[in-house]
Amino acid sequence: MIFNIIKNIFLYSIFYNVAFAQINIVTTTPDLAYMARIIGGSNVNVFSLLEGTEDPHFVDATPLFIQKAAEAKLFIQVGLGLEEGWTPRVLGRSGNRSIQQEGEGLCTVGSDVTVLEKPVGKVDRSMGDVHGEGNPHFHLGPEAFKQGAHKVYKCLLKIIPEKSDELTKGLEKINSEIVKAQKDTSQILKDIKNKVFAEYHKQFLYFFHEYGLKHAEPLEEIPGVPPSAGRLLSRAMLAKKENLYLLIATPYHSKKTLNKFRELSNVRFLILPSGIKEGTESESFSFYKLQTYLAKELARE
Amino acid sequence: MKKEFIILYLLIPVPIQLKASDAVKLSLAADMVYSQAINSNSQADDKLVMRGAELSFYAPIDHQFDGLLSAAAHDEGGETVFELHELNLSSSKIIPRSHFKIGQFFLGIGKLNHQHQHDWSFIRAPIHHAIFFDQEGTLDSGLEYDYLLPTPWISHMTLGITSGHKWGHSHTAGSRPKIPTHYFRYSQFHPIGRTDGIEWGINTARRKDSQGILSELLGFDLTIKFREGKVIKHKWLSETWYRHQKDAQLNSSEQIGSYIYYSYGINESFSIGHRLDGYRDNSLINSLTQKKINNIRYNNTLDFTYYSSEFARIKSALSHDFSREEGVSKNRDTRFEMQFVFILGSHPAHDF
Repeated sequence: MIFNIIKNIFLYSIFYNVAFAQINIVTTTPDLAYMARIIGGSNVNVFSLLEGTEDPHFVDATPLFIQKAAEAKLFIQVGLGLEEGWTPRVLGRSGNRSIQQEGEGLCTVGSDVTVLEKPVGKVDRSMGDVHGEGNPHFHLGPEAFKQGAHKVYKCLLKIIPEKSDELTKGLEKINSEIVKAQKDTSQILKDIKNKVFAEYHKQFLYFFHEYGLKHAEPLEEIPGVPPSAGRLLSRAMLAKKENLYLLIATPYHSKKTLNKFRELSNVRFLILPSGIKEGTESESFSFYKLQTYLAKELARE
Repeated sequence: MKKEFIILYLLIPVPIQLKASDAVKLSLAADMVYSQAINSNSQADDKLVMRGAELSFYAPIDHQFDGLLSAAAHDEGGETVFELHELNLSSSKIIPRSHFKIGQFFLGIGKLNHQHQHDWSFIRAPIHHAIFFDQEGTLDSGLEYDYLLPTPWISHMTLGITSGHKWGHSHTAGSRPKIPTHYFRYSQFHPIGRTDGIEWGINTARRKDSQGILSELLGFDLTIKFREGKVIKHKWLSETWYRHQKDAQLNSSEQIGSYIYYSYGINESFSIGHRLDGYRDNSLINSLTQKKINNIRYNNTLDFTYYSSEFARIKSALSHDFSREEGVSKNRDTRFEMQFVFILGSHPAHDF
């Protein structure tokens, strides 16, 4: 039996090395995985640690993540404090030198994005889950997504410089998808530019900002802290005054809270994906699909 | 106490100097426990105790090594004792798929022993943990090596060897053991989706102290977690440990203990949990009849936790502890407890 186990480990190691003909890439979110897959093409084998249905702030550093990180040539993360609760532990436990801080295999995309809401002055925890480096949910803004994709391209170029032509073609491909998505999404949204939207947590800020949609303050009074009964009441009263059209939330926000807000304000809410989801069955498996799906849902009466 | 003040004095300027470069992660975890006796036999203090304040510094030392220092002030019988918990250098950059540390640390066996007490899912240690590893856990100085096995399944192996001069929580230097402490853990993780899963581990530890008492421990631990968004909806934790001891005269004794804990996340702010644990000494002898005493000790704890954020929580618990020998109840301790935990500074790591 022991001999069989050793034999299996040996065979697995051989298989594992053959599989390495493609560059193993691990990303924290599916949006980053999408960028890496389009740009890297057939040169890369991409695994996203999250599927797009989780709250990326609140995830455990599971042994699965550690194993995937140990086998990665490139580890791509959002940064801006989004994954600070779990990626340091994943990287530290991986035993993979190249993806440690300052290693050439660690790619922090957020550092190359023009972020919104970068706080000025002192930030402390009385302000809730405020990210000192700015809002990290940039992937829903086409321009910010483009900047992110360019960072992924630069990181890939460092790892496989010999594939620069293919990577450049991949970057052009994703850029043209972004342009098409921008154009078609703007077209869908053109009739609702005068409506006022709000969100549960500031995850759609880049989308609102880049498409020029009016948006009011979120349901959360303090980022990352569930709204209290008092907050729901005051936000509902304000919603009537500002003629709030729609409240947007994501699948992991409390439906009970959303229903309560609807009762108090008479404003409907819509649960939307907060990013690209893994799996081609999803309504948001590509950037184009996601953008146009969000726009159609918002524009739907 | 003079020595403790000198250590504090030496420590405090360090973060202040290094914070400017943001190179050092600094955190302070405070743990306060109030316990109220409910029955007359209870050993509860009926007061709020500052159980621990742990100060941690963590940073890369250079391109290869990381350094960790954690020191804690504890209430021990009404006196505040300041002591070094962990001081080690570690690296995950030298040997592929490996992480090792050299210095002082909590031994990497089981589930609770290598978690800091304020991070536990419950207020007090399970009965067997307090007996086998001490109230907080066993720490020692030595070397620990953790290897992520290159198997198709997800498995880790941890090997450690420490001086073995002391075991558990001790304020003395201890004395040279005949066989130093050495331990091993093998664990497997079975993912369910991306963020949920089941982890189990088998553990063994061995040491022969200066008196010639050989202690051997064998344990099994299990963790199951299911998340829904921000909330850990279902969590099961369990450990079972068996200890065998043999002294220089070849007299042997054996004990076994186990707990199972389940918690249900109601929403982002609240969870409820229940822990059941039991302990049995298989070698308890009646001094008159020289026959083995049939004995058992149980604990039943129901808890309710409020999470203000990731950095603060208040846990309340109703606990009933009782022991029985030959069918006769010996001790009954029913108490109500409240725990207040807060963390200042660096973001705490989300371990599975």
